[in-house]
Amino acid sequence: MNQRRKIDALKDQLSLLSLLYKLKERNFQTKRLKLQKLVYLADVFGAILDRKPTAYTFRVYKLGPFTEEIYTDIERLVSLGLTKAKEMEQWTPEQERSFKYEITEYGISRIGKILDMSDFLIREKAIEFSILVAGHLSGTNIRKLVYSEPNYMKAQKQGFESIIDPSYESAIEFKRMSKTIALEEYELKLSEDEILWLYLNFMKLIQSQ
Amino acid sequence: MSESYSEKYIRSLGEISIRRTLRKYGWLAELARKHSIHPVLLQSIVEFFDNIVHLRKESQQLDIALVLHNKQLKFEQPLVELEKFFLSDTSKFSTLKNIVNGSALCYIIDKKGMVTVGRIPSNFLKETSRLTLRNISRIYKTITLYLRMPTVEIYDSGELVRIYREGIWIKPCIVPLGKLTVEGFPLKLLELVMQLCMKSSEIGKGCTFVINKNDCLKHCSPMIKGYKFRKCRVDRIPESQILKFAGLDGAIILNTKYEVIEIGQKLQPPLSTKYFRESGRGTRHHFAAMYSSAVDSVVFVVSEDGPISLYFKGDLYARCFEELFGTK
Repeated sequence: MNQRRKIDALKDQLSLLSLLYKLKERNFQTKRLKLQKLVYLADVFGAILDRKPTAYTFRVYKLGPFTEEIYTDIERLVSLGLTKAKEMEQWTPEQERSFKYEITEYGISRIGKILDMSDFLIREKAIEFSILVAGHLSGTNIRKLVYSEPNYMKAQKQGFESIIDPSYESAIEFKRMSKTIALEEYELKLSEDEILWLYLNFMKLIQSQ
Repeated sequence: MSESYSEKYIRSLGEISIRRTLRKYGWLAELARKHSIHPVLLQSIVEFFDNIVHLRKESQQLDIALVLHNKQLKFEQPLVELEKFFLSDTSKFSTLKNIVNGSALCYIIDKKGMVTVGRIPSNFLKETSRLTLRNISRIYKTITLYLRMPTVEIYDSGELVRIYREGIWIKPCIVPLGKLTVEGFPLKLLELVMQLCMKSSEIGKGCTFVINKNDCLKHCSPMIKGYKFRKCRVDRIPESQILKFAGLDGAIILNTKYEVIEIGQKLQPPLSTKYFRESGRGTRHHFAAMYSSAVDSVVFVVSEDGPISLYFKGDLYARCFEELFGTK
């Protein structure tokens, strides 16, 4: 695994904390698998917005996009008392050991200051969107949604453990295409939110195929 | 490097998806822009109502009133306090059944998709929940939704903007009747007949109404023999009775003095009459157009699947709910 720069690791941990905070705000729960998928989606949406919230590199794994680095970072957050991890009593063999993650009161008290940082604000939008579209989904349903994400589908064809293009070129290509179609055929200049909306509907269409 | 087939396929699926979404939900994106909310949230709300209508049987009546939160919105503490929940949690809506129906309470949804219950200020309440929701949307310049099975209505700043019927979000029926009043057709009568057409459309019954300038029964003949209809003022006949007359084969003929002069009439304009021949429409529409050309009249045709067409001087004067053609 590539050695991440300390500053990148720190930024990624803050993004994770922000994601956990937004889940808590809405009373949504997350286990290990769902956390991986939420972060993955946030990164894809972030690529469309030109501001990815993390620098993780995902690979094609048994149950969709996966990166070991998320576990390293979440453990760091747990050791700092910003997050708590509760081991589930019951879990299916495919989930391996399963933990439920939740931001702590201490974490909440710290996150307010972080969210106000301008550098962070610009990355927050993708996380917010990821929670809006998938925060309420079960582990199974979020997996199904992620399986329909074009960058993942492309990497999946390369085989198990293939790296998913971290620039998410398929999503960027979709962005270009949607802007052109909307402008030329509907005389519509799309906003960032509208491109994300179109991309989500695209994923849902693939899912329904 | 040449692209693999599946990449091409995914790209073309992407193009289809963009066009489909913009065509189907362009109105929704416009509404989302206006109110600075995420189109994904608005689509989730709309799909939530789609699902509720589909999942419940007509016998299981469910009324839901929902208001989109904005900064101006200030509601009193609700009688029933409920912890905020996400829109997708349908069990919460089922638990409260019909109590949050706009008669005193309504659901309030914020821009994150979290729902709570609010108490509508008493001075905002109107005779019906539908009117109350319209009023709230006007006062707070926000979006409100009202579900009364099987239809859903969306109001924006006091205007009805969409109606959900037969699985489609259709534009509301707005017919400019002004030109017809200039031609000598009383506005109130036109509105009354339009109202009857709306009711027939809602219950899915096809029918034809004709307003003639006089008592002329030229170019029509009774479809059912052996009865005599007594001329009567339309406002003296209960609405339900008129709708039953409308359910018979043939047209109901009225004059401009607010009188029903005949029922069950077959329109028989001369075949040489010039008129607007619209492809894809049936005989009833063609004869209605021809009749309006031959006789000084307005002809209202309600199709079984819901659209309402108005013919005047041989032309299609206006049409509502066009999207519903072919839904049955």
